[in-house]
Amino acid sequence: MDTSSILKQYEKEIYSCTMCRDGGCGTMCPIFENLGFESCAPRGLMRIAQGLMEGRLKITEPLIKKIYSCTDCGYCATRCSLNPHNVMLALRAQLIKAGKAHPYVARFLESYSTNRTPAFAPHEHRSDWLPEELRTPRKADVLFFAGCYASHHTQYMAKAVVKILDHAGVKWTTLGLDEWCCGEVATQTGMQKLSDAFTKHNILAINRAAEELGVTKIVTHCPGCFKTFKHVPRRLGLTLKVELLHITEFYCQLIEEGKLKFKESKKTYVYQDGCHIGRWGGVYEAPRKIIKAIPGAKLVEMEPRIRDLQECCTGSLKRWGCSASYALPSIKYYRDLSQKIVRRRFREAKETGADILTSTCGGCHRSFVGGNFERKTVEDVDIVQISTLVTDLMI
Amino acid sequence: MNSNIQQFDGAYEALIKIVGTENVTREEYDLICYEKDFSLSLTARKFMPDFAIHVRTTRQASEVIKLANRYKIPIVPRGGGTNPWGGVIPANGGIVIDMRKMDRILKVDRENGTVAVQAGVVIWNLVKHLEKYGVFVADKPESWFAATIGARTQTNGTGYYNSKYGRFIDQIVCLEVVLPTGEVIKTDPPKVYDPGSGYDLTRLFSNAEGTLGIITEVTLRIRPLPEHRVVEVLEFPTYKDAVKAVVAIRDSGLVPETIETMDGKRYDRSLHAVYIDSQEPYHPSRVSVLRKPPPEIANDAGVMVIAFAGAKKLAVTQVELVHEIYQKCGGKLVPDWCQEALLASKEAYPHNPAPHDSTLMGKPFKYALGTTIPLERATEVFQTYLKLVDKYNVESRGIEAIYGAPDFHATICAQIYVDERNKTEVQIARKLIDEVHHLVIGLGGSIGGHGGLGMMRIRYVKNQRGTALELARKMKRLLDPNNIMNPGKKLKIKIREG
Repeated sequence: MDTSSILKQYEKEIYSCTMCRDGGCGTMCPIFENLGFESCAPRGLMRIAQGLMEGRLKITEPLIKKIYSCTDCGYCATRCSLNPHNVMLALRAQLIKAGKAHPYVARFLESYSTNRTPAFAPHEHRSDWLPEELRTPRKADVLFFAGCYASHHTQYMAKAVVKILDHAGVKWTTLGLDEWCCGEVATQTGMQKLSDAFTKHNILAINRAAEELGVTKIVTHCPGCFKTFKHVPRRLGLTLKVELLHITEFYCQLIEEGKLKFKESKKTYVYQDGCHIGRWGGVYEAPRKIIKAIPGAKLVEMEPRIRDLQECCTGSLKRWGCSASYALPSIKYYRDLSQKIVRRRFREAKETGADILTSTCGGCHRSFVGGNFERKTVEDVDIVQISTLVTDLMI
Repeated sequence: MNSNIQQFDGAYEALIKIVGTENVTREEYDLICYEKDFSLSLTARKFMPDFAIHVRTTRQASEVIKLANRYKIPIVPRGGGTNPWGGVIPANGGIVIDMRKMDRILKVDRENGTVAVQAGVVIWNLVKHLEKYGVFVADKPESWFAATIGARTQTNGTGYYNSKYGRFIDQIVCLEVVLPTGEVIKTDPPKVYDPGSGYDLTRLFSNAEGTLGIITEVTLRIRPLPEHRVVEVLEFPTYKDAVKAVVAIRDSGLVPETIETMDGKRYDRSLHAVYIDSQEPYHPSRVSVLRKPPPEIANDAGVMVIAFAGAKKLAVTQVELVHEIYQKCGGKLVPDWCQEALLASKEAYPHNPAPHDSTLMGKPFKYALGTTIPLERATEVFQTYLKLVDKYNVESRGIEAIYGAPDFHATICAQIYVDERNKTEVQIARKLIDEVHHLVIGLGGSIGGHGGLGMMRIRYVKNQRGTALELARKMKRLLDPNNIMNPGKKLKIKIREG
């Protein structure tokens, strides 16, 4: 394997791994917890990277499978300053360079170049979820960045958001067809350069909207977009000229301003912290505040696995493994792994005695309901996406 | 793929038959991860196992051992893999049994004050589970995020609660052990302290570093969570003063839950890690706790962390009493913001192996010392260690000591930064480690004070144990006639050629 470039960048990190006494990188790694062999733990990946650099390991079919098992949940990065997650991304990038990437990477790449989204849907259909008269950008205060997933697959999520914005009297717009994929999926597959190009396009489009349309805020629905716009601009040497908010943070603002009120609901809610919105985005409180603002609602927690210790729903594994996320045919290995993890997480949620399980992330939601459904009741637990929940209860 | 296991063609199939396909691996990329633990690799030689497997039940463990015993295949049981001395390195190849799938908490018995767990339960998970019952196991090692209960019984290292409750071994009620011939025994009655209906097998099988069998179940003592806990961090002009204060606290009869000292360097490195991280969090959701740079502190200054826990009145009174004692020794409280950062670093930042100093990147830190020493000799070891660090010109991460009940013996741990790819650096580190360990034996200390002997420290064992070693070897031969259980550890260096 050619180690001259991509892995070499992280050589110091890779050789700084002590296999340390704290070993915290593996303890709550969802994949390590389920598969269990050391090679599935982040520190195992560091060893594998060492092995590849020293030429002791060969890239084999099962190893490729293993490298793509990581769910990108970022848990290891919160535990270890060496950031094994970066090394994992470098491993994926190296696989691409060696021409041994997962076959779906090529399909993503194809979709990116023809559709400007990994979602396998034509770009011109991106705004189809909106009524025709609203599809072009117009003067507004708030820019709503819907993201690929809600634009192409789970349109009910995007529709719910604009319903709430309209209800609260917010003047909003979208980028129309200027909105491309934010680049997050490309990052996760190891295509950093491609990802950067997409992010850059979006940042410029957003800044243009700030000047031309008078937009002051951008709200994203998808936590992946939020993560990208929060961290990538600085790395690219760009700045967003508008304030970046996640949709839940924006709802909180509306609640505080009295523009969003809820009717009573005497139910027990449990919230699944998403990885992108929580660990990467740092938004832990806003969704909880929304639930607390519902009169009569009771919020329970899946202690101790909450906030930065939360467990990933493995939605990103489904990207490789399940047909629903980005319309790919399923691979049994990833699908089964994902099912196993998400079932356990669901059990934890059920044990809290909650009536309603809610999440901000479309990926988490889809993992729990097991498809593109708007909502679903499983074993007496109603699984609802947070925007749907707000539309249900707002008055 | 190198040991005699290859001669037994059906080993892989036989293992699959016992534990199932998904629990056996012989893929190189899986095995490469079992070559190492937290220890410093003294040779460039790699110790790759032939198979790695998971077991889920005692019965499976017993079947695997019987198979291995029949064909004389070495077995290395492995928990969190955080041993600092090479205790879980498969020195002779064979089968690594990764115990982490035995992760069920079997029974919390409030009435008798015990909890029964499988050996692969991670300590942190147990602690969080027990919190729901309002109880805890009096053990909190720095590795509690990764270390398993079973492995903890085998190495019996230090923990933050040592000063009040003793070591982990003192929390064990009973063990279930699979012997090297495959039989399963319980070492003691599981519900009550057994003072003398037989030999003290619990203590024999604890601390054995996997050489006498595999621990599959552990019954531990539980105690109600303390009502109140006060933690204070104090600074002393020299390390000697800090140790003097420890002696005074011991003599006063106070019972601190934690009493730990460290040198200025260790303190400074901890705070700096937090500070640099607060400047630019390596992870966006990391909470920053230190906004200004930590105050300067001399390398040979002493810092003490002391905690009292229990009924609120009692804890508060003890803290008041201890104030008088440390003031006499020249100690003063560090500023609140430093205390907060240090305690944060103990909770969260231990998971932070990078030195936060770019010149040291690529050099992981490794244990150079982990020994138990009588309290009055603690300063001596500390000073000699610092001299040796200067003499060999290695980069030290500082030195720290935890004082454990019942005699307030000091368990001193120190780490150095070593680039394992650099042969000269490794040789120098080896010399330093040799010298400091011989010193400890000379001073009447124990080399196995923290993390057992592993592969690295076995060369000092003859000096330490003398004639008792032969008896131990006889016992080992009796229990494990084919020497399959973790060979090359605890008693003898015997590493397969090749």
